[in-house]
Parts: sequence; structure tokens; C-alpha cells
Amino acid sequence: MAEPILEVVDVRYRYPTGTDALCGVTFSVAAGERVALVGPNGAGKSTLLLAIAGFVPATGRIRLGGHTLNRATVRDVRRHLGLVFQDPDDQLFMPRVGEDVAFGPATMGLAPEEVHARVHEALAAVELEGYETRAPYHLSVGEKRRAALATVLAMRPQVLALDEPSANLDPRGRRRLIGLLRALSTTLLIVGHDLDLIMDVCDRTILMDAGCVIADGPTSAILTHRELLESHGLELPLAVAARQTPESPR
Amino acid sequence: MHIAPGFLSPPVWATMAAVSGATVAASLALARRRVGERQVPLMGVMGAFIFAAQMVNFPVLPGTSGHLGGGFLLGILLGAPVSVIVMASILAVQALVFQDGGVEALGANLFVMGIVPSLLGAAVRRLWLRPKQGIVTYAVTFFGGAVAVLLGATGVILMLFLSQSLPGSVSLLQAITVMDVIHMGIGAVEGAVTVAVVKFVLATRREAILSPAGPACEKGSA
Amino acid sequence: MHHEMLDHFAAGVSPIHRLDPAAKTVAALAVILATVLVGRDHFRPLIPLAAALVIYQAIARVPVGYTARHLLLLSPLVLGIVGLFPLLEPGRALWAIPLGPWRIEITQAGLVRGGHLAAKCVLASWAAFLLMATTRFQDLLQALARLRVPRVLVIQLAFMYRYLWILADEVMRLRMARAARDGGGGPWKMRMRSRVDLVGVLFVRTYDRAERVYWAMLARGFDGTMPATATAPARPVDWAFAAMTVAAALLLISADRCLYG
Ligand SMILES: Nc1ncnc2c1ncn2[C@@H]1O[C@H](COP(=O)(O)OP(=O)(O)OP(=O)(O)O)[C@@H](O)[C@H]1O
Ligand SMILES: [Mg+2]
Repeated sequence: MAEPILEVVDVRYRYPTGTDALCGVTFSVAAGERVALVGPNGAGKSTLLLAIAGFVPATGRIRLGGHTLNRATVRDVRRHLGLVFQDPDDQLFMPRVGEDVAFGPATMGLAPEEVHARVHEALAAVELEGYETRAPYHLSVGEKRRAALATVLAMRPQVLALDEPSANLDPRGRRRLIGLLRALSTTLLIVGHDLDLIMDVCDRTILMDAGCVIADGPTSAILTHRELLESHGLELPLAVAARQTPESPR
Repeated sequence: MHIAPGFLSPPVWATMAAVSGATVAASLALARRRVGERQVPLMGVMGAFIFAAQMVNFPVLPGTSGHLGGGFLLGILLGAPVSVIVMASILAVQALVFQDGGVEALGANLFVMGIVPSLLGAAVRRLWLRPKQGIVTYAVTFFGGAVAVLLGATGVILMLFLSQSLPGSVSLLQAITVMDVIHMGIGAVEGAVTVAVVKFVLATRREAILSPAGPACEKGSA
Repeated sequence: MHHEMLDHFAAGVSPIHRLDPAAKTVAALAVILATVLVGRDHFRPLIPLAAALVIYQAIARVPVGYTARHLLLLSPLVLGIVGLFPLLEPGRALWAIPLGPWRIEITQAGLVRGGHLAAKCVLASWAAFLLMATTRFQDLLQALARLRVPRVLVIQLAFMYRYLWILADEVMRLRMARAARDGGGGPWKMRMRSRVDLVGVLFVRTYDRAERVYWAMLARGFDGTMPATATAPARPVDWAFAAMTVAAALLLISADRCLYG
């Protein structure tokens, strides 16, 4: 296999409060893979994303896009990692959507024309053309989420990490997001409880609980394994449940 | 308590603008040194906090209520430089967007409602930095908050007096007395609420907020 | 909500809305300063100022009711002080009202002083209001940056405005949660306690949010400097508008100083 684009080896982290959030997580992701990170509340999924981005000082080894994460490389790592936070209001901090999407490319030092082109391209990718001068607080939740996605797409990251991208979306917004994610060609790391979305988007699933990796394999194998999911506080995706027990009462 | 436009004479508002402008400039330099780049979102979001906190009304006496000024509280929790900058932007938005306080009186308003309370708060902050707090800290903070409000009220009257914007038959002493008596209740609320809020906040986020370097994060990684 | 209303008129399409925000800011400051610099008890210079504001408001098609409602919200303290002048300013009494053992006198000098202060206050507030009613806040920020206001302050204002409504909504939600428990009533101590907790919770949440926003910025390469945003250059008409307003303001103040001696 080619060298993985993301490598996480024995990563551990304990919050200052004493909670062991990550207890030796190891996995690697090849370029172009779409990986889901699932697990119950408090499993450590969000903490893992923060550790990969170098926001929490975890121990162990993290390599991303050829850089081993340490104090000196943290900026390079972040540049190759497109991290979309759970709350789009944290992500969209500029007065206008266009300026927000331009923030990443501009801090990368790109020329103004290139920044402009990137903004246009990223907004088009999330179907928000013409939203450049809109203020983030006038957007709907779905629009905010797509705008947040555009802010990192504009940086053309090698790995896109999304924390619960479909939370608070209505069914149409969700379908739209699924279509959007499927159309992307970057490596994807999706954290979430929306197993149906994961079924549709990800080829591979990593199941975490209590800071450890419990299972790692094809989505089709893990998300259809009823006992495994239920013993870790999850349920079969509706699509799978419907297929497995066609006679079950509605 | 905002001084409305047209009430201050040019020498008074120009002097106050110069004094407050210099204080803000010094605060910007100090905040950059102490808080670093993290100051950018911190101060901005804290400005929004003060706005939102001012929406909460505290019952003073039956039928009257007051809200937190905020400068004193921020001075304790975040130190004087950050507090002064946050208060400056709040008062600027209040003057421009909500026409609360005159644009030319911005320096004067910032001085009495931002700079004085922030400095008093920062002085009291030392007591809260000690590992244990007792009745002395609470009492000093309570009176500090009350004094901040009363000093502000007195300052407003003094500036109006110097601008000859007080009715001629009212003496300076009378005006100050009336204003301070009116503000005693509000001062007591400012003091009491600040003590309680600081206790509440430090009970949950003590290390993050009081450590000299700010929150424990982004220190490095794996 | 309030901000929707502000932005609603600020996003209009009149020639005034199209003016460069920096030019409008300079003009508004000139009008405000001219108003507050008008000499004590001089009423006549206020007439052209008021006329200018009426014309501006008409061209910009800002609804009169909207303006009136805003100006009526002027601080009660202002009204209080203004109302005290006729009673407390010494001078020739116009009316005397006996009130038990006292006599309240309404003096002419007091009416003039109070009226003049009130007029200046209303005009200056009106000018600031018209600037906001015809300029979007984001545009105003860019104008301030171009007028050499320190960048840190401009950015700080941008962040504040961005999160203002989010936190205001949070206060509403926390308030509702509180009201659901105690109905907003209860003994004084309990009401006090619940409001203190509300402010405390709000502070902690805001502090944590500042942290997350900072991370979101770092994740996108933030290194302490904010990228500048491109702005449309000012046109000759913008320059002309600003220059003419400033000149008119200077003329007015000079005339005021000379004519009244
Ligand atoms: N800032 C923090 N300080 C202390 N403990 C924390 C902090 N953030 C998270 N934790 C704890 O770390 C553990 C992992 O949290 P994390 O947020 O990573 O879980 P998660 O898998 O993302 O859960 P969810 O699905 O609810 O988002 C939890 O036990 C949580 O309580
Ligand atoms: Mg999470």
C-alpha cells in the first residue's frame, strides 16, 4: 500500500480534569479514503480530531501529509487538514461569508486574484454562489453548515475532517450534504451519529468507545453488525434495520 | 449614565478623548504583549458578552432595576488592558449604532464607564489570584464595585459642571449628592453581583482564566 | 429582531446608500461635530443642520416613523436633565406655580438652555442614526479601517458584532429556561440568585466559545494578523460629498462664531 496520508499511532490524552479521553488510538488512512468515526457520546471522537489538529497536547505519533505533528510542524499539519467544527457559529467568525471563505486562502499568502477564485470555487462547490456579501447570522443552519464547509474547501486540504456535519439539518439539507460529500475527491474523516449518512458516504468505519478503537473495517461490515453496535450504545442504521427485519412492525 | 451629545463643552470632551485615547493605545500594546494573538477572538466575543449581560436586569428596590456595567467584572476576570479595549468597543457601538451617548463624548463616557471600573477591577483582581478567598476579598470586591459606580456618577456630574451644563441654581455639591444617592442602589447591585459572578466563574474555570498565560492549550502537541 | 430592522434599511438602494461608507462616516462626523460646537443658546445655526438632515433622510427614503421611534428612545437621563433646566435655571420667571409652601418658577433662561441642549442632542443623535440607517455595519467597519482606526479595534468590533446576536439569543434561551422554573417571580433573593447564575453561565460559555473560535482561526492558518479585505475605491462623487459636507460644517461653525460674536 502507498504511504498513508494520515497516521495515528498510540495517541493518548487525558484532560486536565482527569478524564482519559484517548487511551492509545492507532489507525491510518490512505489518500482518497472516506472514513467514518463513530461511537457513543463521550467516546473521544471530537478530542481525537482536536489532537490531530494539534489543539490538545496528546502523546503518541501523528503524521499527516508527510509531516509528523510537533510544535514546529503544527502549522503545516493544520494547513493540510481541513477541520470543520461542530458549531458553524464558531467556524464563521468574519462579518461576511465571502470574507470568511477568503480567510484561509488569504492567510496562506495567496494572491488576491487566486483568493477570489478559490472563494468562488468553494462557494460553488457547496451551492452557495452569490452568498459572498451575506452576513453569517442571517443564514439558515443548513446554509451555515455549507458555508463552514466552504471555508475549509477553499484551502484545498488533503484531509477533510468534519465533526457531526449533519447535526440539526432537515432531511433535504442532509441529502444535499450527502451529495456534496460524495462529490468531493479529498480524503474524508467524518465524525458523527448519523449512521445513514455514513452508510452513504464512507467506505470504512472506525468504532470508538471510551477512548479506544473497538473495531475498524468496511462500513458495510461494521454498520450491519447489530450486537457490536448495540453493545457500544449505537443502533443499526434505519436503512440496514429495514433490510434485516423486513417483517418488523413499523 | 451615558453622556448624551451636546452636553459637554469642547475643552472637556477633547481632553477626555485625548486621555481615553491614550489609555486605549496603551491597553492595546499591553494586551498584545500579555494575551498575544488569542486576544483577537477573546476580546471580540467578550464584547458581545457584556452586551448580552447588560440585557439582564437585577432588581434593586421594588419597582427599579439596574444592570451590570461590566467594566469592573471584566477588570477582575481578564485584567485592565483587555477590559478597557472591550469597553471601548462596546461604548463605540452604543454611540454609533444605538445613539446611546454622544459620539464626541465617547472619550468621556469611556473614562467613567470603562477605564475607571476596569482599573478598580484590576486592582481587586490581585485578591482573587490568591489560592483562597474569604470575607475580605468579597467585601473589598463589593465596595470596589459600588465605588466604581459612584465614581462614575460623580465624574459625569463633574464633567457636566465643567461644561456649564448644569442648571445655574444647582451647586456642584448638590448635584453630586443627588446623583450619588440615586446610584447607591445600582452600586450595591454592581458590587454584589460582581462578587457572585466572579465566584461562580472561578468555581468552574479557575485555572483557565486566572493563569498568567491564559487558557492551557495550544502549547504544543504530540 | 432589532438588528434585522437596522440592516433592512441599511441595505436600501438610494443614491445615498451607494455612497462610499468612509465618505458617509466623515460627513456624519462633520455634522455631529458642527452640531455640538454650536455656541451656547444659539438656535439659528441649528436650522440649516436640521434642514440638511431632513434632505438626507428624504433622499435616502428612511421612513420618518422609524427615525422618530429611534429618537424617542433617547436616554431618560437626557430628558430628565433637560426637564430640570426650566425649573432650576435662575432668570426672569415666566410662570410661577405655587405648590404648598414652595413656589415653582419656570424661567425663560431655563427654557432656552434646556431647549437648546435638547435640540443639539436630538440633531447629533439623528445624524448618527442616519449614518447607521444608510450604511451596513460591515461597510462601516471597512470605512473605519480606511480612516486609520487601529486594525485591532476594527477587528474587535467585527467580532463583537458577529457574536452579539448569538449571545443575545443565548440570554433569551437562558431566561426562558429560568422563567420555566421560577416563573420570573419568587422572593428577591431567589430572583437575584437566578440572574447571577445566568450571567455566570453566560460568561463561562462565552469564554469557551472564544477558545473554540480561536481554534477555528488557527485551523485556517491564523498567525496573529487578519487578512485585509479588498474594498471598492471611492469615486469622485464620494469625495465631493464628503468634502462639501465638511466645508459646509466649517462654514457654519465659523459663521456661528463670527455672527454671534
Ligand atoms: N474540555 C474538556 N475538559 C475536560 N473533559 C473533557 C473536555 N472535553 C471533553 N471532555 C471529556 O472527554 C471525553 C471525550 O469527549 P469528546 O468530546 O471527545 O467525546 P465525543 O466522542 O466527541 O462525544 P460526542 O458524541 O458527545 O460529541 C468525555 O468524557 C468528555 O466528558
Ligand atoms: Mg463530539
